[in-house]
Amino acid sequence: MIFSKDVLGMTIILYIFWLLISWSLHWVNLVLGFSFALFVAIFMAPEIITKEERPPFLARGFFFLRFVLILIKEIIKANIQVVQIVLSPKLKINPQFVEVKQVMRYPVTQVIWGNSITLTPGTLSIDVDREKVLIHFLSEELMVHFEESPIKAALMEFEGRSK
Amino acid sequence: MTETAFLIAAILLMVNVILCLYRAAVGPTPGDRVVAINMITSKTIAVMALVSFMYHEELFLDVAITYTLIGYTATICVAKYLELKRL
Amino acid sequence: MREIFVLVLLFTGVFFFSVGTIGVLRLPDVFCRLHANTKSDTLGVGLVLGSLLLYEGLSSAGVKLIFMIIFIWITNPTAGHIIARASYDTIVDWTGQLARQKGGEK
Repeated sequence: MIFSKDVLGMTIILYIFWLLISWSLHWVNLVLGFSFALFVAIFMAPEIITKEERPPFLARGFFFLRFVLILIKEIIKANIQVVQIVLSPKLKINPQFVEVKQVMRYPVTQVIWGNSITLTPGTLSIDVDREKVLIHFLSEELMVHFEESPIKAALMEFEGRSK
Repeated sequence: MTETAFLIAAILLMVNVILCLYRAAVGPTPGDRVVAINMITSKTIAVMALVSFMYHEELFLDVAITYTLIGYTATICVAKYLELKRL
Repeated sequence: MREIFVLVLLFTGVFFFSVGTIGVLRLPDVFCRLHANTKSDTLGVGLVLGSLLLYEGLSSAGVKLIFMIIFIWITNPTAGHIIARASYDTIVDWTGQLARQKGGEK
């Protein structure tokens, strides 16, 4: 089954991307863009994220937007912390590896969670799988902040769970 | 006046690139070198965008988009080679 | 007025880039360097390209800048993660221990 719903959705996304990048409405451009989008979507069909792997996205656009805003706030906090560590004359770091349990259910949110760990203050995700996450901490007092990180709550809400 | 500021910012970023090259040349492990190359990639993208606005030439932005994705692919390939010893 | 905002955002971005560079030069091992790399580069690119976006407005160049920001914000943490995972097996960190023995089995 080549023309499934996922392939069609991928084609539409790629076509919109083509139109925005090329920024013209000449008919050659329209036809060429659609054929390339369809070709790439069919070629990459086994790699496309299926419905079982992701939480219901479109119904939860609001939660995703809130998650992105919280993420931007956390990135700014993380950068201020990096500035404090790097520019202080004596490096006050005590790096450690810690293993925590995976809290997300869907593969897509597990990937987003792994990337968010990297962008939150003082943590770096090293190995992410279905059961656990291996994290590199820059210093110990950041562990407390990580445990009650607002990103985790926002992402769990996006998955459709309340806390 | 703004374009002069773009030029100054681009020069500062190029100084950063040279400092990163030191880490890429010296860095004791392959991981350090990949980190340095990754930083150089993201700085080059910023410089390309600034140059595009300095010369009012939109073509550079297309090059910068392509360079974003190619740099990412290169990092993934080198990391995979380090981990599995094959591509 | 808008130009002042553009300049402030631009040079804040350059400042974060420089902090990332100093971090990569100063910090002791690969994992600590990755902290500086992922965080400050992501925000630096966001600020520099965001200032250009504010300067340009929403035109064809502006859309390309938005796509570049989205791509970098997705790819940069992923690249950092995969470098860390590749280094985890083999690298001796700054205390002289093998990283793998310190953190347990992968």
